[in-house]
Amino acid sequence: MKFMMHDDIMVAGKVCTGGSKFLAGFKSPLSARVYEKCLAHDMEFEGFLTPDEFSIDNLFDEKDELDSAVVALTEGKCDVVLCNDVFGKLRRQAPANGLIYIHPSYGTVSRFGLMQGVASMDQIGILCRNLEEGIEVLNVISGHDVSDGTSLPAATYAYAAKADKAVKVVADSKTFPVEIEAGNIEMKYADCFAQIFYILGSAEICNNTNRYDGVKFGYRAEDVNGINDLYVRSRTESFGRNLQLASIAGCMVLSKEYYDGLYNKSMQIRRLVKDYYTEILDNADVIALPAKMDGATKYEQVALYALAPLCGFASVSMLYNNKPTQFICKRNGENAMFALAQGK
Amino acid sequence: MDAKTLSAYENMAKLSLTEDVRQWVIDSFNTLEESFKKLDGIDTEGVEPLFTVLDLKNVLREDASAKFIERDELLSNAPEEYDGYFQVPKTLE
Repeated sequence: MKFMMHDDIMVAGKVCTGGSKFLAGFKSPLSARVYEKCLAHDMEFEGFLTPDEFSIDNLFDEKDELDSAVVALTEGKCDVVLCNDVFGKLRRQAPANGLIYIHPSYGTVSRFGLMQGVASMDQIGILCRNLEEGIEVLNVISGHDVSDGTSLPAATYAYAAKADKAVKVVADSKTFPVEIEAGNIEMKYADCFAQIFYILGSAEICNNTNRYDGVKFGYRAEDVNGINDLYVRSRTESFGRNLQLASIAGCMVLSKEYYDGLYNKSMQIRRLVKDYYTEILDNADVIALPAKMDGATKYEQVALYALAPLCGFASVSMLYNNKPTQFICKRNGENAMFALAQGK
Repeated sequence: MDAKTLSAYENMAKLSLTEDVRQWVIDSFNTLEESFKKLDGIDTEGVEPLFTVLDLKNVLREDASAKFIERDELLSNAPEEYDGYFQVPKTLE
């Protein structure tokens, strides 16, 4: 099977930019665990694709350029692309282009060798043309890795589109209609998902990109006047505006003035969200959501994609009954979700 | 978000926005800040913040040394180096 990767998933000795001018020419000293695992399973690496800068989606402009991974797959350059879709761009674009995106449960796939963005939600996923190939690759890349402190202990997982009984699906049909028979639930807190995602996400991006200061590696501005000028100009000249916005928003939500009201409160709401939806998935196999909201801005649509990363759940985004749909499940509930997605 | 407040956050983020980016950032912040008002309606009194979705406990490995990267390789990505060290402009006046 032929695979490609966004170049925020690194390979030793190769130039890996994370889509950032800051890292133009940066040669990685190490290889990501997922890359090594793919090679060990005789998968052929067809090369890198450039992601949005550190995979930060452009949420505040309505122009929606196709992601390089979507283009590569639709043009048949490979069978699967590995990428870190935290913001939801691939989960939004995959169904619209007849593709499938598998977002694994947090902790099941090693992030060793992935450039950090939103560390508490980063998760390498699989963009594919058909589900069976996607599941096959998920079996290859998942499993414990001692080099990733958030890696769960299971050495391997046996993922398959297989359900022992009828898959119980639930949905909030009134607010988030889907083309599937489902029990009714209320999507509580959904009107806050985008906000808490952006608050927590920007705080983590801000911290994780502090290392990009022009001292040890990466872009350095010329003719600087002292060390502070080196930091400021190196970052300003090489960061794109989505990263600049996230960095400033991160400083704001972590500041003394807003920490309690925005950052800490978002973490509290995150707990309420996780507890509420975990209980729902204790009594059902899959939550179904649309993968697109007509008339909503990209920022508003983050509400559709935030649930899985906020709670560490797995998801599949695809066309289902010709509608862009997402299925979401808890860890260890993936096989029932895949069976539903496969129509088995 | 007014210009003075934005300047303070730019300073913290070690950025100095160009004029066109600054206006776009202010517009985006207006959208964000308006949306953040929704959080006020949620009662979080006494709720423990959630830092990570995993229930993993910290596991300590044996304290053994390991060579991760050679000095030359590390310095090969440096914008400037001198005699085996990273080189930066003068940091003290």
